[in-house]
Amino acid sequence: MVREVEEERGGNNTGMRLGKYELGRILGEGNFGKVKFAKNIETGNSFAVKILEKKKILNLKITDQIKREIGTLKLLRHPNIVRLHEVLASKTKIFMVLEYVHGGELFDKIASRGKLPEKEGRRLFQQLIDGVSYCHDRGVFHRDLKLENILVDGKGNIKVSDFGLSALPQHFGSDGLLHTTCGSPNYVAPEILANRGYNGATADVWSCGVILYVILTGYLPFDDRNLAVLYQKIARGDVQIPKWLSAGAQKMIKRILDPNPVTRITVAEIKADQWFKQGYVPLNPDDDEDNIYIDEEAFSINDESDGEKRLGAPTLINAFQLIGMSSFLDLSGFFEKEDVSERKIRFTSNLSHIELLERIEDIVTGLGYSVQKKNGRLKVVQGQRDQRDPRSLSVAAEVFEISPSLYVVELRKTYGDSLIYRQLCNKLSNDLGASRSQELLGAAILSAETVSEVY
Amino acid sequence: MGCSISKKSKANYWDFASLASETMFSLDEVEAVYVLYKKVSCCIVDDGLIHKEEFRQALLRNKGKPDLFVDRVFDLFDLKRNGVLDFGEFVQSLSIFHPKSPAADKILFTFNLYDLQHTGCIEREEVKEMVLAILKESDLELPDEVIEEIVENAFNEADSNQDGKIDLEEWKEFVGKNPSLLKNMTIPYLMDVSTVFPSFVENKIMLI
Repeated sequence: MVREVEEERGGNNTGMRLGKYELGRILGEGNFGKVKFAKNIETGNSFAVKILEKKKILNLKITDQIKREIGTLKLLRHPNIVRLHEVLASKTKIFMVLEYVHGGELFDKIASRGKLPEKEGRRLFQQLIDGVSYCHDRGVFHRDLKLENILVDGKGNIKVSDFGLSALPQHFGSDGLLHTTCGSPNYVAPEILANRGYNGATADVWSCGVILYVILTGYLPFDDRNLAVLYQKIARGDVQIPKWLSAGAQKMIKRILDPNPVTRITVAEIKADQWFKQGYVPLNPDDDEDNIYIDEEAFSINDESDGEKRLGAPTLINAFQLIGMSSFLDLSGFFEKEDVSERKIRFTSNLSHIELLERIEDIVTGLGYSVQKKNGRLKVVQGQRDQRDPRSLSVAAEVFEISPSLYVVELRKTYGDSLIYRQLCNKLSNDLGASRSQELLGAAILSAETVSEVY
Repeated sequence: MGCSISKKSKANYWDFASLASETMFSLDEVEAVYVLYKKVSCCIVDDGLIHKEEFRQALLRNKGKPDLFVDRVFDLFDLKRNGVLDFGEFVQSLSIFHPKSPAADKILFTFNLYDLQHTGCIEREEVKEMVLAILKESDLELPDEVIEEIVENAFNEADSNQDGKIDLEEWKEFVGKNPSLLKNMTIPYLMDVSTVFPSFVENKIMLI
């Protein structure tokens, strides 16, 4: 246990090693434990490492849901969300390696400088909504949004931290709601206080409203030394909105701090609001160069192999490449929940390469999927990568030539529901396949579970 | 994972540190592979060894029927040739699939894999047998002449001295021209196996 021993020996001293990271000074200490500065020794890049004591979570049931949550967090990539790079573990601790944000908390900025001009405040609010909306689309909710969780980087842009963490059961967030120390009850939506069981999206919107209020006025909309009184104010939506704010800002705050979650403004409605839209440049994280991660599995594997392949030219494969396609030679199976042979489906066709790609595109577009082309492969996508959306699916389709006028179409699922995937495969092979259709929907045991091993 | 506690003592039998030094895995990763190993080794017979049936089941789930390829891979993992895999064999063999493992090891593994009869050469009949197996697996039916043609084409390309079989040197050259042949020889998951897998993290927590 060299690594763990080193880690123990290092104690609180700087220079402690954690795998390829060297841990440094303490950046902060939060609900969850210490956060330390870290440097990747190989690349020199800076990170922040959140250290969670295992003994605090040891006696808790670690459910599939949590595993899925952590897996999902790693997939969140948005300029306004603090990125989780990886999760490491020692015998006693869990380390979350996070993006290091060079800047500070928005809280300190407001505390020292007071309220922000409306235009500047709106810019930060737009970024906050952008990040929150991105996470919500992927089924991740914050549930503990507050000024202290919002960092501002060197360029003055917002980075929301701790997204999704409170979804890990109480131990991590240690309920998050009733903490008096960090002031978070001030940000809590009334329906949470009422213990009604709530929707993460509307509750996050409420907290964004409280944050907007603080940014624009410099003080909390709901505050009282007496918690009971505070909760009462929140429950009633009892808020004074300063008249000196612009009419648009006043209306926005009013619409968000609506105690009824059903009539409260939604993220989509916020984005459509006239006041919000002023100077708003929506970020499309998918334009991000860094963001090809969804393709990782489906596309990158043979990227290095086919240097000779030109766009649009079919890949002529030899006997050994054909043999190598066997799912039974794919030992990734050891690491996946799902059978590899269920994920990779092949059929032959006599249609030409070009014709196949066109027909596949036609068929899946007709079924409501969107299609992207890349290096002669097709990526077929429906919905966002979101485990809560049972219809979301991503499939890579590739055509190989095994002899003149004989092609193999290989479909590989990146993520999504097995049943929907099989229905799609069945449709394609029925319409395009050369031989008898395969009994794709036959007696195979179909798991209704969406793939959760997304790591 | 029902047997995780009962087997814990056996873990000490293996010197993880020396396994780490002999393979591409770090100490933590050897531990993580051990978690996987234990899961596989007790899925049918809880004796701390991986039997062929367990190997199949881990890879093919409920369809753990005999298969040419899976059984070949198992035989190659079985370095001591005693019909079962111990942890040492498992780690050492899996290490070849590590993204950082030298290509030469991967090339040799594929050569041995395809040399079904252990003759030191890959022969026509062996290739045909494997092509038939992959076609069957994929539910594809091709006329015999097409299959012959596929095999013939491969030999035209790989069998440089045209003696009807592919030796190791020819294989190396052939793989050099077709790097995608090593595609399955790298398991991306093995890169930082202990860190990429929160599930291993969980498992480790469970073990402690």
